[in-house]
Amino acid sequence: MIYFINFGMPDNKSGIEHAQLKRARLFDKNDTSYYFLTRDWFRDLHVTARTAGVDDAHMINMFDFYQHALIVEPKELHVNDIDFGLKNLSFTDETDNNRFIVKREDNRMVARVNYVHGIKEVFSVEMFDGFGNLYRVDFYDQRGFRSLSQWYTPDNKIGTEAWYTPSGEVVLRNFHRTNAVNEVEKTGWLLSEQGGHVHQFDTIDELFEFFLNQINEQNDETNIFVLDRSLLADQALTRMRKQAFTVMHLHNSQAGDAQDPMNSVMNNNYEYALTNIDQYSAVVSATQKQAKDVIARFPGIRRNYTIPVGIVPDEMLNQKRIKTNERTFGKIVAVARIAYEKHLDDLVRAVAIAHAKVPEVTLDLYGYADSTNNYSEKKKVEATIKELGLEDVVTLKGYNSDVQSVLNDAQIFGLTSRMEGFNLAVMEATSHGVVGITYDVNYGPNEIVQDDINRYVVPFDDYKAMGEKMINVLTHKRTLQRLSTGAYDSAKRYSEENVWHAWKALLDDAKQLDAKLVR
Amino acid sequence: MIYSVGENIYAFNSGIEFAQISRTKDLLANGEAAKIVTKEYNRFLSRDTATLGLTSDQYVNMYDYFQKATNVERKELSVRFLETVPLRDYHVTGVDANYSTIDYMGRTLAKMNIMPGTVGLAGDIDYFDRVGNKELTQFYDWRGFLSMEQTYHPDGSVALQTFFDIDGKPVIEIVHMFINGVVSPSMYKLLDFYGQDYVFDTQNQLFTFFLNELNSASQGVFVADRPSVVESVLGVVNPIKTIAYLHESHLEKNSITGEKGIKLAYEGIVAPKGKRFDLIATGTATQAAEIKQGYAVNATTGLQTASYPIDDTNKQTALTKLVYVGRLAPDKNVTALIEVFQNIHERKADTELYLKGYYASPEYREQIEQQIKQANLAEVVHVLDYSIDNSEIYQDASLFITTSENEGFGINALESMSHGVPVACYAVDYINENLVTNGKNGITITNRTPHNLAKLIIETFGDVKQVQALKANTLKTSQAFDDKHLVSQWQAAIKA
Repeated sequence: MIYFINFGMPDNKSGIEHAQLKRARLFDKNDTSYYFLTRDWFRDLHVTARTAGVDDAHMINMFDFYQHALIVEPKELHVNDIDFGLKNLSFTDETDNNRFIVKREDNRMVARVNYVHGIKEVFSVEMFDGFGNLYRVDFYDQRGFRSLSQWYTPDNKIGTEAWYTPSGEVVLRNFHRTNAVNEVEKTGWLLSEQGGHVHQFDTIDELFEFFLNQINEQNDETNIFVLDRSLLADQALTRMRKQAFTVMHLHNSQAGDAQDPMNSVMNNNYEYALTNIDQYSAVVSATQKQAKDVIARFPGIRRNYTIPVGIVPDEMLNQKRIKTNERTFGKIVAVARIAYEKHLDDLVRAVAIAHAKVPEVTLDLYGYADSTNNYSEKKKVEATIKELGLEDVVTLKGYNSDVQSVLNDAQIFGLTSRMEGFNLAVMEATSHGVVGITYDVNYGPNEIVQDDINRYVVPFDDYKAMGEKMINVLTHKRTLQRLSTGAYDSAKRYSEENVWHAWKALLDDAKQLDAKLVR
Repeated sequence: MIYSVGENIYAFNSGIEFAQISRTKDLLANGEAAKIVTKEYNRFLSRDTATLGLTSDQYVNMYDYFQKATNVERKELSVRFLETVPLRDYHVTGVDANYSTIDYMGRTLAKMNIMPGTVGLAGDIDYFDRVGNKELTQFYDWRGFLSMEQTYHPDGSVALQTFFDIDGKPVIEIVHMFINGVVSPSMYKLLDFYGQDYVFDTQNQLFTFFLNELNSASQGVFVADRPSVVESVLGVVNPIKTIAYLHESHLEKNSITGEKGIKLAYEGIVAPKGKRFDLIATGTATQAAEIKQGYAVNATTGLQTASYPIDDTNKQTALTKLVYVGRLAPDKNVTALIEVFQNIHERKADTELYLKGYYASPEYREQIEQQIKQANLAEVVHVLDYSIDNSEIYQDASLFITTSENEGFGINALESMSHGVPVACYAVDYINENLVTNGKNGITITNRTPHNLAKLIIETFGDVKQVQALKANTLKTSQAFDDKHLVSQWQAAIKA
């Protein structure tokens, strides 16, 4: 079996989730089974996963696994489905707070039942004892059963968190205690498998390692574990109890400064895994360029595979091409999180230069704002827009799951990142015939974008050169059309067939290798 | 069904539990359906009831009932074969006869305490976090199944107790939170009981619910043998009858005024504000009459407390071995008892005193031991451990002495008499003239001082014929208080 490791499958996805989903579709098309192996507990995991196209049969979540809730027939849960164990209760609907207040006849508080606005499905219940203490808060899985209870301390803090089977048996707990400097922290996890062993773990990482071993030992095959979120299991995968084909999948630059891959400090997410890469069976890079650099710095790599994380579906390759003059003139777009590594204030500066020459130029930014440092990057971009007086030119559009129509209407796609692992957005823009103008940044943009064939690549950090190139293509309509056609053509490199071919090589290797030789 | 309702049955019991057991066994032996009902959680209950000769159909405990464990065969569960211990991952280290540890890479994850009084059987397991806080304790029942788990608040007090049925399904939760700023059990929750949850603020409310379950399965006469179960017994809907049984005097002397008043614990019975018992029963007709006269109660009657089989092998007529069997507690006035003996021993050096029972507290033990030492009686006063079978101590006993300042009935005195051993005691309520009559089956003294009682004892034993007469009469008294008599009294009271 092949397993893709991640923490979950939320609605707000990063490139890693998009890459996993595209891979899953490809495996589906090629009748190859797989599982998403997810670590974290989310009450709506199955809903967001299903929305993303991952059904229950393709997901093993650690909590679900121990809660015996991998597959549960969903049922809607409303306030009258909750058994409070008391009679003659009164229910007051506080619609402003999206909750019911439940009281006894003598007005003592029984519970606050929090529901989803509108449909009034219960998602959590705050429970009170007969002496006015909030003693626990229950969280209901969206499939309609109590999944997690947070048991409170007398001074109103979370004491024990407990996860239950749908039939109400506790299987997993963690405990909160003060440490040596009197701060409350999670000091331990206790797993009581139904009718079986009790295991104790200091951290969720240790628990997840135990889980991975259990999954690996469920069958006699040499399983493949693709680590898409390195920090979830980079230690665990170096010491699986039963041999497995372990794959460290890079989704970003391995070097902190992608422009200096041999010497710069390591990307924190990959430092441990790459330092111990001889303990892995293989590394997957999304681009040839990255593969070359990684091997140069980490010669202990046992097997290397270059597999694009972007896949252009056959339907898209065969779509009707949209001419550049059918698109909004001067429309520049970027699809990226508003985050430090995307460096979008540089893009705004480049657009300012272009806008001065070509007044029709506008820039739309699609992507959710990174909350790091209290949204400092978003504030920086907004300040730059104000500084340059581009309030009517640059628009922050937020996260949009329908980028197709956006890309079918834009002429230029801008990218000013400090580093990348692949950049799905560039590939998608390319497959929609949008002309990219990007920094020469590792890895992805400078490989997907072939200078003067489907795009222009300008020197790293040189927003002035980028502005000039924008003016250049917008004022030379034939060049614009030539590059757009080149973009449509180049998308074939990421066809389903080509990417599957790359995966097939990895799968075949894993299968053919004697389990004893796998490392 | 006659339900004798109490708190618990212990390894060390008081006369109340003995009375419940004697009553229940006598009723059963004479064709009446009867059961002891207990309220408190006790994972050693099956061991302690077995020691007392009770079978599982003769008693029912509330927790056992909800845990579906009223009739479970004991199986020995070795800590070395616990299914919960993953031997593939952890070491089990046997430290000593009392506990073993579960270790991982040199760290103790859990401590497995051996079930008391067994070799290597699982008793309870404490699980620790990485800095040594207790996370969880699992308690095993004597019969070898996981019975209860508890978690803790950060200060180490108990947070949540979860009780399991024998299949491991949680059936009761007890939440511990603040009540007036003190962490106490603040909620009792019955889980999925025939498909529904039930929340109770107190254990008594849960107990009421439980008694009603018993009553609806088999309608009964409910006998409240302890004040702590009164609230629950009075909460039974539509019982055949409710009876409060007073095992001691309902009165006590006010320590300041010296006037006699109702003991606080019995106020709800003899001077109820709400619901009344159908019948208040006492060990003697005297006490019953007093209550009837003094308080607005429905009905009272004397009902025999216990019975003992007769053993007439003791032929001792010399004053050599004096005995007391019972709780060694302040309300039994053991200090005066030792003074009586001291007086006797000064006049008759070949006498010895045997005390058999358990101390009410370590402090009281200290006090009594000091008294014995200071009186230079350590060589001649023997304290024997509590046990169920007392026949050995009575085999050659000369006299049973008690200096208790009041007795509801005096079942230890009756037991003594069933062995042909006369009783010496103060002439106090309600033992005097009811169970023990001076010059007939024992020695009582109205002018209650240790000196006077000692003097009368020595005088009495100066006349062998009189001692023989007393011995013969003790057996007659025992006969009058036999099981047939007990059962017919109870039958009459229930029908009335």
